[in-house]
Amino acid sequence: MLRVEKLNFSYGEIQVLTDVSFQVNEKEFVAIFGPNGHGKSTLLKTICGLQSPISGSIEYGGKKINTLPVQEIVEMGLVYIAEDRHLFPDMSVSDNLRMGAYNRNARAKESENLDYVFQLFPKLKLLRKQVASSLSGGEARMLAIGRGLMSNPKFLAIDEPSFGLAPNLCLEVFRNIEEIRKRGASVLLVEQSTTLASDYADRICIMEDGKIVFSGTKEEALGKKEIREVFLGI
Amino acid sequence: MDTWVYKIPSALIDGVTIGSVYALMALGLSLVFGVTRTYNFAHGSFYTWGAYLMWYLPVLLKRNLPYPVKFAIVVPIMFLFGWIFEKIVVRPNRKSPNWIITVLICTLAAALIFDTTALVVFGPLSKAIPPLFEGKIRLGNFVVYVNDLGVFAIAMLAISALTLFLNKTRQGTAMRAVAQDLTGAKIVGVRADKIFGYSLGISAVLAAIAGILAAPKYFISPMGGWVPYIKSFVIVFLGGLGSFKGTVCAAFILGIVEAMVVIYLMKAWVMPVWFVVLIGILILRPKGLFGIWE
Repeated sequence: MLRVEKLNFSYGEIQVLTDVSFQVNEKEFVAIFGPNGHGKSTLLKTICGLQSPISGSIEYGGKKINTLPVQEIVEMGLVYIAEDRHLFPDMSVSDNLRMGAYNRNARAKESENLDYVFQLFPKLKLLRKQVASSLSGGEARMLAIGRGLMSNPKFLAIDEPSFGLAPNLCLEVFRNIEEIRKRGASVLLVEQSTTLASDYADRICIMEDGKIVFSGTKEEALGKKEIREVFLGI
Repeated sequence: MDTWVYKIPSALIDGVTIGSVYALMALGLSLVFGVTRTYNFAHGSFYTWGAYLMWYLPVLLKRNLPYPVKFAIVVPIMFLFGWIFEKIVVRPNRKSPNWIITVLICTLAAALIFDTTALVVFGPLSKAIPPLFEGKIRLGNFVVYVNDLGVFAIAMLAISALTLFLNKTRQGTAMRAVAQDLTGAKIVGVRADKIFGYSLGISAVLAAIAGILAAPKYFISPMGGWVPYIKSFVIVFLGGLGSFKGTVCAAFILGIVEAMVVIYLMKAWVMPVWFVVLIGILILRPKGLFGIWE
């Protein structure tokens, strides 16, 4: 469904991504791990159209999307959920969610998806009239994921969903991602810690210094000595 | 003693009337800043050109039309003017490194071009347009001009329409989203480019309506947009950046202050008194009356 080939990206002189290649098949859940600052967020941002790669190709659903901006990519069903959340601070929780359904593909299913989001995150329903800037870190993250779901995704690209969340909330987030997968969505997730995500992912990749150094299943990662150390250490 | 007291209601009516016109102008500025994070120095030119177009229509068509018809012609033209302005003057400069300053300077250059063109085309002498409404109402010992009531009503109508647009329509909500978090808006699929264009278009319409409403009393001249533009700045800062409610309140407060100063002191004291009020309030409330941002 998503195929990335030899992707390169640099901030000025600093090369952040070097010849990154991998793919996510339909209905698959792929997790990318790696220490902080090694390019994971940049990779997601580039795939999702917030930044343009220097070279390489990104194919989604068979179409080349390297040059498309994020506004158009979201319409194709590839939804990006940022680590920085980028919520609308002066709008209520429900207004934020409704804005999630802005793109043409999502408008028709707005009320259906809103019910679904409230079902997955009952706390958001309780908080629906509250202004987004007054939410706690965990609530804001739930809202970011909820808003992403409102965009009617066939493919979710999530950047560090569990960062800063209490362990029980993390578990809830991953359980919800499982629920979303049952509906047929593919997931590409980037995380710093391997603890939870590796149990839910079908395949994992490990990124170091802007390169993919391993791609395979969790068992394979634990089997290879060098990778196991990195894997358990992250 | 008698005249002093009778002047107060008169000052209040004048103040509220001119305040509503200032509110329109300041809201346009506030909208553009909120959405695009730049100040449009040509905002005063929109004010002037809106009024000139209103003056010019009967000349061009060789007959006069009722005001509603003329508004229906001038408003879309001004929206287009603002929208094209965004495409030509603002948009190309957004890609450059110091884009905030580049855009500022380009809009300033555009303003000078617009004003000089007005000077060449329409000449230096002030023009007037007939009052929008005729007549006066006598309440006891003092007089209320129907034109003032009409100006207030039209301005409030425009403000209500803007508020409705921003809060109840999808594009209006998208505009607020762009103002609050540009990246977030892009992530949900908002076409930010279009929204920037709309915001300039709407601000041009607001400035133009303000210019038209003020024209019967205050006349139209090529450089006439600068004072209202500077006044808009004071109003937006007093009300607080990022707050529409603040802008409208500040506009009425300063409008009444202006009317009082004109009646009890001299017209020349208006700007100094305004600045004193602004500084006074900012000392007490650094973010302005209802400000959200610094």
